[in-house]
Amino acid sequence: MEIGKWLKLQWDRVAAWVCIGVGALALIVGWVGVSGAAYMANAMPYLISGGIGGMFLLGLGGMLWLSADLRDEWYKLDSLERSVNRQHEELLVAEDAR
Amino acid sequence: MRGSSVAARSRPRQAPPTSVAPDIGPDLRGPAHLVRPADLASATVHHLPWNRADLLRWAVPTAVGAVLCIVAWAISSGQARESDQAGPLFLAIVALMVSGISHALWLLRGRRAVGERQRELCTEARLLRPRDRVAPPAAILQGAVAVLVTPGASFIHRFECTFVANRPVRHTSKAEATESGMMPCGVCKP
Repeated sequence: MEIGKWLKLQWDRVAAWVCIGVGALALIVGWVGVSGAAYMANAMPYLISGGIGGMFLLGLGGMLWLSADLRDEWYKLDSLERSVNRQHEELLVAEDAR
Repeated sequence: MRGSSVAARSRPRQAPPTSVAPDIGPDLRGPAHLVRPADLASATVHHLPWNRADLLRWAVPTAVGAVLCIVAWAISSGQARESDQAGPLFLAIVALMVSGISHALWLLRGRRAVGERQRELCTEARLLRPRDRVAPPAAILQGAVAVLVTPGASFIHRFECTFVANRPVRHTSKAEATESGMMPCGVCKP
């Protein structure tokens, strides 16, 4: 499958990985910033941006990933419902033929 | 309910059965509950487990949480004293909690919609279940699949499948049916 088409279909999983990656990076940068700060007042901005911001992005990434799983399950139910309906029609034809 | 159900679209076709049936509910079986193709065509199609209101209920708290995080970071960067930074830290933690709750609610709503639809589909399959099951000869079961005797039948089934049990079927080999363009039933997966 072409990469562009795949990205379009799986945009939420791609976004999830991007958020998880950026979130992990933010946590590392925050940790480096906090460990290099001499005073708590200097460490606090790193704690908020790197720590809490990183957790925010990790949460968003996890949510997008699970959301994509639910969407896939929904599409699977779509195809199952179509199959049930088609077979239902066949049963009706058989019923009328009797 | 987001999906469409056979029960909601059913119409009576013949007298209720008198024979003893498997325990699948008193009125939810047999062709008396079959619906017409015209009704099926009007079935509502839903593309995702969430609607626009769900999207808003997720997007607004998440966006607010992100903005509050940035604001908290900006305020805290401008403060030199540790005691003045407690407020922004608290604000950021609240923002994180708000967005986390909105994520959890979004996933719960999706999970519930999928579960409801699964139950509906199971009910539809039950509605199509015949009253009596006649076990086919063992010889037929070995390697053969069932095809409904209907003009234009396009699915192959296992003999014990809900869709063909107690209905006129012919048996054929799976390879032969597949070659002639038939698809395996999505329920029994022959």
